[in-house]
Amino acid sequence: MSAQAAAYRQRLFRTGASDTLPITLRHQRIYILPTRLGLAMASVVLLMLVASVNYRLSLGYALSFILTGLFASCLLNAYRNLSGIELREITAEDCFAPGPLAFRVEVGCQDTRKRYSVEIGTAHTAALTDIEPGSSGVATLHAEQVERGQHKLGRLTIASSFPLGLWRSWAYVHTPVDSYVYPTPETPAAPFPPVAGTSEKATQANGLRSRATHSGDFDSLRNWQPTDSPGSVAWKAVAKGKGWYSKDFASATQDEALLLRWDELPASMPLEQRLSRLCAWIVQARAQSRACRVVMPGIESINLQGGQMLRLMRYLATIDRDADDRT
Amino acid sequence: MTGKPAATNLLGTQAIQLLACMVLLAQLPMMFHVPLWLSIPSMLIVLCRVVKIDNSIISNPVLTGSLTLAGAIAIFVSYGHVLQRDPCIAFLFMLTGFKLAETRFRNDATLLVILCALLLLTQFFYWQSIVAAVLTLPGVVLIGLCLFQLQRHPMQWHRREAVNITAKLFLQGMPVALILFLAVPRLNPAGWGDGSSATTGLSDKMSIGSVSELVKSPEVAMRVEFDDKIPSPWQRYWRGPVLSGFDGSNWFALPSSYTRGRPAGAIEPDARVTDSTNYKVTMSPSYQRWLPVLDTPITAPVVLGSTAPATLNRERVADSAKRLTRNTQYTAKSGLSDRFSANAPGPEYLITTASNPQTRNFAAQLRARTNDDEALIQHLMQWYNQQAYHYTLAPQAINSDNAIDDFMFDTRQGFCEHFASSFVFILRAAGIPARVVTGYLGGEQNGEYMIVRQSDAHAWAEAYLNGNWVRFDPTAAVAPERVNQGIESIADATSSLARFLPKSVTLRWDAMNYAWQRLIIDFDRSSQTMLWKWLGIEQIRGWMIVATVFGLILIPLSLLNFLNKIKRRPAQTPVERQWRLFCQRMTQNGFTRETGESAAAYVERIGSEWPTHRCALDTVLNLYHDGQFSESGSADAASHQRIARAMKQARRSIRPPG
Repeated sequence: MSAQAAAYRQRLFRTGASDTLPITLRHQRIYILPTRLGLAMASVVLLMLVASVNYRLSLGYALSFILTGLFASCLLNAYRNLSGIELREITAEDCFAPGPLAFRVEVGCQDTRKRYSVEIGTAHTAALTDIEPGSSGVATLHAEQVERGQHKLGRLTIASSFPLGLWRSWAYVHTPVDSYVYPTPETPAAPFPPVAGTSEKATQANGLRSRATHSGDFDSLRNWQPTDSPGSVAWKAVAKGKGWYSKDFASATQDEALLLRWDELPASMPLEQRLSRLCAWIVQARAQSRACRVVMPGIESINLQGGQMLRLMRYLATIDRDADDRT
Repeated sequence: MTGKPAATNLLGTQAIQLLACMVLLAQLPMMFHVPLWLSIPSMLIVLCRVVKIDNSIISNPVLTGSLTLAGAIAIFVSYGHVLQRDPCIAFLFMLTGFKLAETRFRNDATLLVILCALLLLTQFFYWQSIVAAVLTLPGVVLIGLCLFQLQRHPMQWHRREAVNITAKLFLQGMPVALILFLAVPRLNPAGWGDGSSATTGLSDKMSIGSVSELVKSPEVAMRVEFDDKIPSPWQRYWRGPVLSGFDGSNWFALPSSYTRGRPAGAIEPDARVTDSTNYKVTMSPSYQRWLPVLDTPITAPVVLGSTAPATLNRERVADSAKRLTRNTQYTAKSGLSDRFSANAPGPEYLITTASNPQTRNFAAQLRARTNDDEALIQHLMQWYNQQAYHYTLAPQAINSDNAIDDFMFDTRQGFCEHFASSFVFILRAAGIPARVVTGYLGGEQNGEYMIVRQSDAHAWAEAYLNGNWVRFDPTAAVAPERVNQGIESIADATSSLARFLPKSVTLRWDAMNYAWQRLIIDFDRSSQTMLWKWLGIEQIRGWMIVATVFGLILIPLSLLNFLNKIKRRPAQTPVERQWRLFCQRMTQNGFTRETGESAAAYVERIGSEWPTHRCALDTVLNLYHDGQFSESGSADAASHQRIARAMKQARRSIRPPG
């Protein structure tokens, strides 16, 4: 019985994040109730009707009924304004605390009716948009002042009080969309910790061995990208017809590789501050394209490329707030 | 859902302007129904905002508050009471203007819309003419527009789009409104609502000058449709209150004549009545009880839609059971004769006063000449005709105790009431029972019906001769054109506006008003019953109305839904169907088509797994492409079918290896 109740709850209020996109709003999902203005107008119409009855005002009846007809057509149009709206994609981009965090909801409709003043929002934020027929638009939900961590989008409410604000129609859509908010990078950033290779601690086990570098020498070839400078193109390979490659000088042209260890951060610093500092270092290292290795309990990142970087940052974002005693 | 900052609720200039237009249009029909000292300033404030004059001084809350208070006090002083309908309406009128002046935010605006909706209704307490309805419509549309604009508030809105959408909403709502108007049962509430003590038309009291006041009014007293015979102009005497009492200056209805003499219809048919006519009267509210009937009524009129029967009293005044506070329809039958038989009247019809000695003398002289009552009356009529009596609407004022003396022998100019009252006075002084009858004389035929106006008000006399009450009209002896050609033959009697318009225009306008009155304003329970009868329903029940309304809403809705469903599912060609089946089958075998994967890539992927079926797979793919993209594929149904059949065969030949 409780399972059934839960199923009804899910169907009525979409409490669980179990919808899969794309979703087209139909009558199964659309709710309509009068707004406060609608209730006020309705009571005025009732008052008018009572006056018309008592004074036998035929035109009073007519006026009240015209307004009642307006209510009815608004109800129909409130439904039609939401029905047929298609939620195509919801994406979220990670950001640094304190935000703003942006969820992008791609909406559209395939029929020929324009949708007016559609409010797409969650419990915390909302965006208002019109949807042109046959096209798709993006509503961006901004959340200001977000804290570090994993943020769920939560249940989306697609609502509208079109056409006259007498009725409010709405629908719930709940899809599992997450966004990660990274720690705030420390400003100004603290200087990098001493690089192992240039110091006397060269013998340290975890240090990266420095490589002798020669100008023009390169580590590897990677796929050419339009942004690469002409000097880095592997022209020999191009001439041989092997395709376009770029020479990767990353580790060669930069300073010695960095080693960022969580354990080396002063344990007396609060957790958030330590995270901020580490985050600032990582961001800076990536901006300078320095080779960098991050070692933390539970994760080890050997460079700051693509997936590695994302994994690392999301790990930083989700470190338990209460785990201050982590060593 | 989220608390929006106050700034987004601030209305722009365009919005304020639109609101101001709405208020102005809602106030416009009420303008002349509230005192001008109230309506003009109130509307000027609104006008300021329409033309974008910054009236930040007016919108100062302290000033607005004190102005409102001052207005409320002024209304109280002017009306004398507060908690009644009229002062409340005046206050609402004023409040709407001031509310607009201080409107800055969205919440104020919604309140304003509600006030305007109420204000639009209030005018119907005062008038329900075609003009009222026409003046209301723009206000209603503006209410819709303002609501739309408030709903769109933070977003941009375009005037044309807004107008289109609002107009569409109203049009969609019209069928619902129409059905509700026709089908919602009209109640007949008991009593309250008839509060107005206004009196129009004749009353049961006549003093010199009271009728000539009425003659200035072009208002329609009643409209009459005759079943068969339309009476000649000299027969159009509409009998109203009979005034038998006299106190020296005023004629009044005797209380005894107001108690109902005989029950309805009990007046015995007069054998001599050979010429009679049936007719239906639509009477404007008179706030009196009596019903004008053509002289002389034979039976009591039947008031349509009323349970209380009307009666004819012994003075043959038709008396409805209650005051006529709204338009009343009744049918009646009258004989077209100037006399009716009655029992000998009591002494009250001989009462005169001691005043007017000259007139009494004159009566005595007449009596001395002849003993025959009829001959005496003939002499008197000749006297009026031959002496220099002058019929005028503007006689010299007479202010004396002997008013009749002054009129008869001094000023010699007067109006119907002068002639009638002096005539009756003389007859009574000569010993002939007589009384004054008031009512209307005339009526103008307009197409199928006759209009009787307040300006047709008239007074004449009745004398008791040989067992009959006989009608005498001394005015006819003085000014026969009044009888034959109507009041308009007398100069400056018509209303000033009507004089500028051609006769046909005013008559057509009246015909429209009459139709409006009958079809819209007087639409009530009895009209509803007739409507249901006409539709073949004997007894309307609540569930029928509910079913009709819901049916009319639900049927189009479900139709719409059905059409949408058809539209949503595009027609599938046989080739597409085969391809879909193929994909389904492959999915069952573990080859799910990725989103965005082309048909060719998909088949290639399957082919690399099942090399033995590569040939059949390619056939399916080629046929699919043929059917889908070749020009013949979409045009020629037969070849399309052939391709589909080939695809089916190829599809069937593919079986999972092993």
